[in-house]
Amino acid sequence: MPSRTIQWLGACGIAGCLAWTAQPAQAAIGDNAQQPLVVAFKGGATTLDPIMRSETTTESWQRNIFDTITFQSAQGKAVPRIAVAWKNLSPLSWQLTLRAGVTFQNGTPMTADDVGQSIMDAANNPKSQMREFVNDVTGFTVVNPTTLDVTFKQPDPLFPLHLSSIPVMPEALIKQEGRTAFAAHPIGTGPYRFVSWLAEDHLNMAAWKGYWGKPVAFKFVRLESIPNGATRLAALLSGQIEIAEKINPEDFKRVKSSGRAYITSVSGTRTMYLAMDDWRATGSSGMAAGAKNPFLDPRVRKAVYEAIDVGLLRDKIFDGAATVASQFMPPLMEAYDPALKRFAYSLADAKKLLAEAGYPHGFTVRLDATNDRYLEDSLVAQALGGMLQEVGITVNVNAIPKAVFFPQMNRGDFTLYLAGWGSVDPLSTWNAMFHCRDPKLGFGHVNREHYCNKPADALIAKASGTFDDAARIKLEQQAYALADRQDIAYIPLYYQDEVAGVANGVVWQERPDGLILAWQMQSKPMAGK
Amino acid sequence: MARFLLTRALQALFTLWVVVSLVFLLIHATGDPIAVLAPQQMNAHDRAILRAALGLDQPLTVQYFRYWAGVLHGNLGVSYYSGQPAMRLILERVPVTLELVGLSIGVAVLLGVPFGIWAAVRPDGVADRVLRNLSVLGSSVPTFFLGILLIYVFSVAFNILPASGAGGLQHFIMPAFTLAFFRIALFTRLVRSTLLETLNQNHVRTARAKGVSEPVVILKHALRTALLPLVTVFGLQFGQLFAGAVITETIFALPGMNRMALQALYRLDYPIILAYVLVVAAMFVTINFLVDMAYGLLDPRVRDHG
Amino acid sequence: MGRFSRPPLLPTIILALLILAAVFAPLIAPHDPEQQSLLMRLTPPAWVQGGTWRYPLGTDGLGRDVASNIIYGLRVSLLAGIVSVAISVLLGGIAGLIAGAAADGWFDTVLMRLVDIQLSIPVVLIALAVLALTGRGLGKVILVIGLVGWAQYARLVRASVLAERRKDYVLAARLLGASRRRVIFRHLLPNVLGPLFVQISVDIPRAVELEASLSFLGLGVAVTTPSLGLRIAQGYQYLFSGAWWPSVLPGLALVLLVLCENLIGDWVRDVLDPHYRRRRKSRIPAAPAPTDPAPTERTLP
Repeated sequence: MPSRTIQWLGACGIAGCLAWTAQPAQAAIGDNAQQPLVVAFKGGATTLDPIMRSETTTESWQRNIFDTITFQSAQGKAVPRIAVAWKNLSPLSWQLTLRAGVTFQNGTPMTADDVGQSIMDAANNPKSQMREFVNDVTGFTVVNPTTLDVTFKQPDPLFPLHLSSIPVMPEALIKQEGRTAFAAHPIGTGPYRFVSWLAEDHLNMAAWKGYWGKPVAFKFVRLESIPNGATRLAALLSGQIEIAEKINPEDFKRVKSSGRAYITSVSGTRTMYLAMDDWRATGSSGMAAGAKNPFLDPRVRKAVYEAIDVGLLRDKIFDGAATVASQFMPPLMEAYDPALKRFAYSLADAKKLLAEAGYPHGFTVRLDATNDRYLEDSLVAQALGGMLQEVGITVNVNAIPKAVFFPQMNRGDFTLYLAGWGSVDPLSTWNAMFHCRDPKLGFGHVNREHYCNKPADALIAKASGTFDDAARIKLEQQAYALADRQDIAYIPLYYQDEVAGVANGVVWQERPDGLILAWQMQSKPMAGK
Repeated sequence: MARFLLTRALQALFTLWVVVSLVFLLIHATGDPIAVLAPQQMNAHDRAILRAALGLDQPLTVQYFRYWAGVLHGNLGVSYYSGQPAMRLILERVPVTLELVGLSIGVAVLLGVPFGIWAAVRPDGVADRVLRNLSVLGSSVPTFFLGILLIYVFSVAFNILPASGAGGLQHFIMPAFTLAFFRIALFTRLVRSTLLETLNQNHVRTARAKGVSEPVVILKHALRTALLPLVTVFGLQFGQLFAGAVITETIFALPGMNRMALQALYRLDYPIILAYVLVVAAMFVTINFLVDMAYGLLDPRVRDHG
Repeated sequence: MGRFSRPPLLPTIILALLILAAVFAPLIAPHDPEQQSLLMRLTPPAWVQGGTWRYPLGTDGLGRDVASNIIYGLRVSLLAGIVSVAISVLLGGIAGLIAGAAADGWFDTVLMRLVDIQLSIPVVLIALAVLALTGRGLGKVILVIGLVGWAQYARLVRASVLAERRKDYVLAARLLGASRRRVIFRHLLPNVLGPLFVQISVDIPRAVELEASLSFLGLGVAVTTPSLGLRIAQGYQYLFSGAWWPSVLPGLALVLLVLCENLIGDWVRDVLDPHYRRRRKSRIPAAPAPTDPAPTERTLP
């Protein structure tokens, strides 16, 4: 390859090369392999093994090739995919009815055993990052070719939703050739088949003729990584690509005024929040040596809450592309309570609370944050520092790479920090983030602040065994109201919006879970062509 | 000769061993890969299982010996993130880096050598002074700033060159020039000073005295002698870029091995970092060896006594 | 022209001004560099439409004053350049002196292996390791750059010492019974200083660039520290929506600083490197250089 291009350099002068780069406009996107529909992501999938990585971009790429057993609708509900119906036979058993006539992309028919084994693989493979969704599964029995019974050690009322993260894999083939070879040339039951790829750079796919579902609108699709937002934008506006995810807020106007593309956005499932040390009286690492930890006082927590103008963050940093969080649970979750409101922004009230708590002149604290993990994370951290300064709290912002941040966060090193949480469901979020810490039972494992409210834990425990949706949701909402309003366990800030720029010839609406799925796209005849 | 080669090989292996061992210790001091790899919501029990599956639950010494045992069997480990062999992932990205570096060194030589000759023909002349100042400018613009400016002008303002990825040759024009910029300056200076030096050597002065025309003196007699240090520097530069073009690959989002190594560093994908360091160190050792060989071939004194 | 040519006028004046600005930053800067005003973010420079003289060079994405950040950024750059090179010189110089004085001893062998090894470990890796172990900060970046640079000085000083050792006056001193330490400090050291200063003058601008590059990659100073490289990285994303000033202006300041340093470095080399001077001024064959400064690049390409 290098020698060829070096010859090329000799053959065509620089001027010739420049002319060559100007490509003709595409007639029909995605109709042939030379002109695929191109979707540009900020990052790229790190693996095509569909259980090895629980991360949005990786899943976006994989889930064109693999079907999940159920599917999460844009409203957050489980809807049929490979499983067409489900019912729970007892608290410890669910029965799935499977779609008939599904085949893998190598021509082998999919069996109920494949589905059952896929669940067990996700639950038991030591490198699986999908374990949490099916941790309570103990086994399965194939009742008939389209019926599967799954058994549990603990009730899981949200199992159908959890199955939306479990891919169907050709288990016999994997056993035969090994996971490494399988991941190098993946085979699933999804709408597209694998053609070629370079990890984290690009993936070429072609429509699979034997797909069980509706034929896709674009036959050839290329997913690629363009890390820089401005570059993605330039590629979109020049017609090199059809979809660019995560458009920078300050560029919305350029997309809208270009006449070639439009912006689609939706409030996402990631809650950005501030966490505060809730257990160390002294010796919290973000305070001066020997200084008392002010965050043990609920008045200080409320003061910090009220001193933050999230609306200003939204308008000035995200240009509107974020949703002010009314509560920790994002709208897509069933526990989201539309009646719950934020504490209003009030510097006067915040100052009053601080004075009551014994900090009339504020205090000094370090605010830790990442600088390479969340959208505009270090910018937000710096802006938060500026806002808290208004009520006399001096903030030293320490924004560091995630590789350094997360180990420290997991050790509970921080006093005050900015982080994000992508909720999977209200129950697992509570047990991880809010539940009183109990390492033996595995509760509160990311509750580094040692927040603890036993009555609220009891509500969630009850909800975990409640299969009646309305009753369960009520219990969940009660628990989260206690944490959000009464205790201020965390300070929810905003839900990141999922934003993409889309060329006019393509119809695509962003999903709250952030997945961009080529098979859900439609084509639109270009007006005035 | 065989004894010399053997000594050199042993020295090289020793250097490789120390470098990789040092890096092994360094990266294990940088943090916990599981903290970055595991999804946030993964609980402690599942994290422990993942840790054990990657062998990270073992004491450092055990991990260290396991690593070398693997290396001796040709197994450099499997990436924590992709599940694919680290060496394969690196090698998949070598062509892009090679193409980038080859093109930029090519451009730098094609421009730098004639510039250098031009400057040397008349020391302190107009051309010399202009080139001298330009070459100082060339070594004063940081790579990342030059890259940004190029993208702004050619991709955003005029939209004639792609700013990202490695498709065709057009993807390499800006990155190669970004890398070449400093090296054009370097080669110009180097050719100039080496030529000036050789122009004063006896055999060149003899040729002049014999009435050989000036272009022939410069091109045939002086440049041939000057070739030796030049080849050395070209070789070293090639090595340095091949194993260091991290900013250029990052800014232009080229899927080269340096950017991959940087990403692996950010998320502590140990097998990839170690494989990368092994490749880089091995390459430096090889280049040093090749430069020595080049000396032997080009310089009769070294050849005769070597 | 006299024995010493005069330093280039314009670069010297500009560099002096930049240094003065950096030293007296608190007096000159119109604003606190970290003070932010989200309401005023991305205000263009005063001479552009929409600009105001309150922010002569405009504001960045957080509403911080660009001019003040450049002035304080120069301070960070100069500090990083000078202190880190001082660390390299100290570490490498001492090691090189000892190794050169005891050539072919075990120390020499070990040192030269170490130099090889050091040069094979990517700078970024060292930076990330130090960062992870100790946290971000200007001091740590300076340490990283200093650590990366020592090998070159060790090499250079060792080679110079080896060259001088063979000369008559050193042999004479040793024959006269001068102690090894005395030979090193009284006889060898002064003769090594010339090439050393040449290398230093080349290295300071490189160290400045390296600090900027590491900070650009997010491996440098804390995000609130006004480093030019970091500000360029932070301003980069706005460049394409038309706000060029938060990245281009700090970039130009950086180029100006490094350019002046390089031009003066050239002059230092002309003055101090007898080998180089002779070569330029006449066509008398020059003696082989004691060492050619290793053409290694300490910035990140």
